[in-house]
Amino acid sequence: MASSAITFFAYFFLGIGPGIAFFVAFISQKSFLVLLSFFSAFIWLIVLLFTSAIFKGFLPVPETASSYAGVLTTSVFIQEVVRYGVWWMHKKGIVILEKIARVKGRRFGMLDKLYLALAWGYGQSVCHTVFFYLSFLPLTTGSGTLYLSTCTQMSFFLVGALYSIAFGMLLSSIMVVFFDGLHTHNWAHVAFAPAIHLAASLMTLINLTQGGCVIAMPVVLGLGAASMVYAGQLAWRKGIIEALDETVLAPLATGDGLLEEQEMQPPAHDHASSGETLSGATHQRAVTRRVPTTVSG
Amino acid sequence: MSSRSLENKPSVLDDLGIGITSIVWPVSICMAVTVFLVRVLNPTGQTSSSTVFIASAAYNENGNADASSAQKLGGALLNAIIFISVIAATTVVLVILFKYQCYRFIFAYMGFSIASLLFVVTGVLLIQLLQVGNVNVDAFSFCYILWNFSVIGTLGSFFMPVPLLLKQCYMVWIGIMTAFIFTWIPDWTSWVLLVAMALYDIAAVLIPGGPLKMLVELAIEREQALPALIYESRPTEGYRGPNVWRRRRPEDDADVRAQVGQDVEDGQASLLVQQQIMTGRESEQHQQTQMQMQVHQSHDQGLGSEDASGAPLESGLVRQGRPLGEGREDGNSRGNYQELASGSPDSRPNEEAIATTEDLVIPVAEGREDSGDGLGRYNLLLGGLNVPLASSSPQAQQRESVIPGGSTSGNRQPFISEEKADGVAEKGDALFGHGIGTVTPSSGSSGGLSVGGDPDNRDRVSTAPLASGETTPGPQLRAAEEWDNVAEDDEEEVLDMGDGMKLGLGDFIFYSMLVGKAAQYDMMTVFASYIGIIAGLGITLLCLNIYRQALPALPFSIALGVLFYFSTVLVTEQYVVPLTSHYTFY
Repeated sequence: MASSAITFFAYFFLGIGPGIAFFVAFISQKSFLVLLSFFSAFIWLIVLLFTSAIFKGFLPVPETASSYAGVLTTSVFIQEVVRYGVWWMHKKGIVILEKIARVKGRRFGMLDKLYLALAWGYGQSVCHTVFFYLSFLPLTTGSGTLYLSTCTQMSFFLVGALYSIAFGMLLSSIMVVFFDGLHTHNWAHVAFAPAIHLAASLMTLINLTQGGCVIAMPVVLGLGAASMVYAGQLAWRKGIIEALDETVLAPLATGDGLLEEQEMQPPAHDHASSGETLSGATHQRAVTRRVPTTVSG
Repeated sequence: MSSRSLENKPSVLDDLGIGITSIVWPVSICMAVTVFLVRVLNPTGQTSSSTVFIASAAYNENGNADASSAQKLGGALLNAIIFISVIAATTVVLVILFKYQCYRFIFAYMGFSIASLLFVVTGVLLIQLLQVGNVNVDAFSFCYILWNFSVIGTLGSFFMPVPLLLKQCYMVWIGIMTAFIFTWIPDWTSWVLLVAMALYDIAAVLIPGGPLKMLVELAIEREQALPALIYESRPTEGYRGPNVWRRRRPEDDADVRAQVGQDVEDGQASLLVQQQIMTGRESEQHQQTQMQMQVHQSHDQGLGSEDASGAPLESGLVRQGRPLGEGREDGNSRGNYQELASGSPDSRPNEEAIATTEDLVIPVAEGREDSGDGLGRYNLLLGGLNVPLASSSPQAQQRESVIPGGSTSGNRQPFISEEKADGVAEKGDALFGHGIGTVTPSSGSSGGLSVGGDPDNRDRVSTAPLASGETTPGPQLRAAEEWDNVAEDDEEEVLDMGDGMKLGLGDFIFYSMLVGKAAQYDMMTVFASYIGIIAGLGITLLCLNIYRQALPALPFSIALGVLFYFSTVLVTEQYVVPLTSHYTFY
């Protein structure tokens, strides 16, 4: 009993741990994101049901690489089409949220939109993890394990855990990039999502060959990590720009920031004129996308 | 950096939907523990026709193992019909008892059933768990702890004030116990029963002659809470600061009545509410204003001596006493406001007012606060019911019919046929809906008056008394207009998601029973039906926001849960398993 509990929790924390940590750190802080993740998982579950209903007629799938490739490609294609539908829902949701924000006097900026995109993506990765990995995990509470003949290096559960990390990272982050691409009409970003998804998925076909799992695993993990890093950088850039806009540039533009600039300067600068102080202040701010042109002095 | 930096201004995502999340968590916990119990105590998925007697009264499914599918379906339908009839009958009995004010009987019965569930059933389950876990506990410690556990649970449900978290835990535990017992119902019967329960729920809550609808209407009419097992959530996190719940003292009534005087209609005692709200948002806008509201705990004495309904009822049920009174559109509210304002002629009227009478009477609009403020929290007492101040009485009732009490009664005891805990998702206590909110002359603004109102107007209302310190009709009229405007702000009402929710325990039970039955098959079905149920719950709560009346919580969730269960069994599993077992993912 003890050993089976240990194996269960070991695989549980390996495969789901990062996802749970991510949830606690980012999603659970705002209840709306929790609800949105649930809703997203619900949508992707419906997509999964739809896809499996389509393939019900083709079961059992012949165990060749080409037929599995066909299954995977079709499934990814369906998912990507739905991803565009999710974007459409996201746009509608943003309109409503802006209205609510206006009514309540709250902020609703780029950072919040990034959070929303993250929640949509997280829901997809939850759906994937749950149905492709978590559903099999209770098998580890027994006293056996499972290996496939094609992959003697890693157990079924270990493979599932590592892939759930990989696809979790991937699916969460490509949604962010995808939304950003559609928002800014950056078609490279728009194509990024389906491309990476398909690439990662087809990469797993290598697992069908003997010993292929050792090759495919790091590649897919790398793809997931890379997309996560890319999405993170994108979010950082957008968030920083928004933060700068609000804290530095907008006050400067309206002139309200002048007083504060002066207050914050060390005493030695108190005697300086406001213009001088201001130019000194702007000088210190290294990263600005645009120069405040409305400030006098 | 500057005060306008991003961190200071809260985001709209921060607490939007916090009421829904506060319901989703306990439902999820209930389901998770039920699944755990099913997997641990009943791993082979055994069922028994005798565990829940009324569920197998007509057709013993396990006894006829080799019957055809049609026979099983027919037998299951028969079982379901009998089950539903028993539930409907007991609900009707409850309505009759409630109608003729036999509260003591209701409470005695409910107390008995909760006590037996918490003692006997919990004890048996715990013993089984201890056996599975190979833990040795001596009988004396076990009985002692179990006895205390059950006594506190029984008393805390209706008869004694206990901390909210404790009450919530007991509610969830009762739900878990009952749901686990229900998972022993044979398969065909249980699935047909779930669908039948969902249909019955629609009928009972929405159709005019339905027993639950009658119960809800009776409760609204009498402005009392239903004697029922309800899970209520009052989320208190966020930057709003502590929420002070104070026990209402009988002398407060006298104070306020003296203040309010003739404006209080007969039989409607002032509901004193005092709640201290420290709101981050309000402090931004109105630094000096402070809303004082006191909300008494759910088990406080109700309106005091003039409540003729009898002590037990008050102690248990009349959660927040009687509302202040309807008819706000006439001079009442203004009268009150005038009283308060005139009582403090100096330059700091709000402080004076607060000092002299801690409990101020407030017009309804306060209750209608959006969930962003601390007021919204209080609002959850109303269950997030948003009622505009200047609405006429019948209209207000219409809007508030959301809901008292939520689901009826009790608890399902398998061994005894009893009233069922029905699934009515409700959004707050209608009593309160008339309610409570406080207003000090200056504090009208703190978002209290109107949700979508003109912020400038709000400012004016709030600062006018402060600045002028006078009690001219000006600010009061403006305030009243403000309140009148509130009624038109339907858009904001729809956009607003309430701050807290109530969900009947029957919903918990049937959701967990569904997931428990799914657990007897496979974990994939568990997750699929879980997501379906939560999605259905979200849809129900959204509809609650839109329609603002008592809604059955079972249909959407059960429908989606059952749909996802069967589609996972039939379709998804055969698709996912081959993919996974060849290590091809997408």
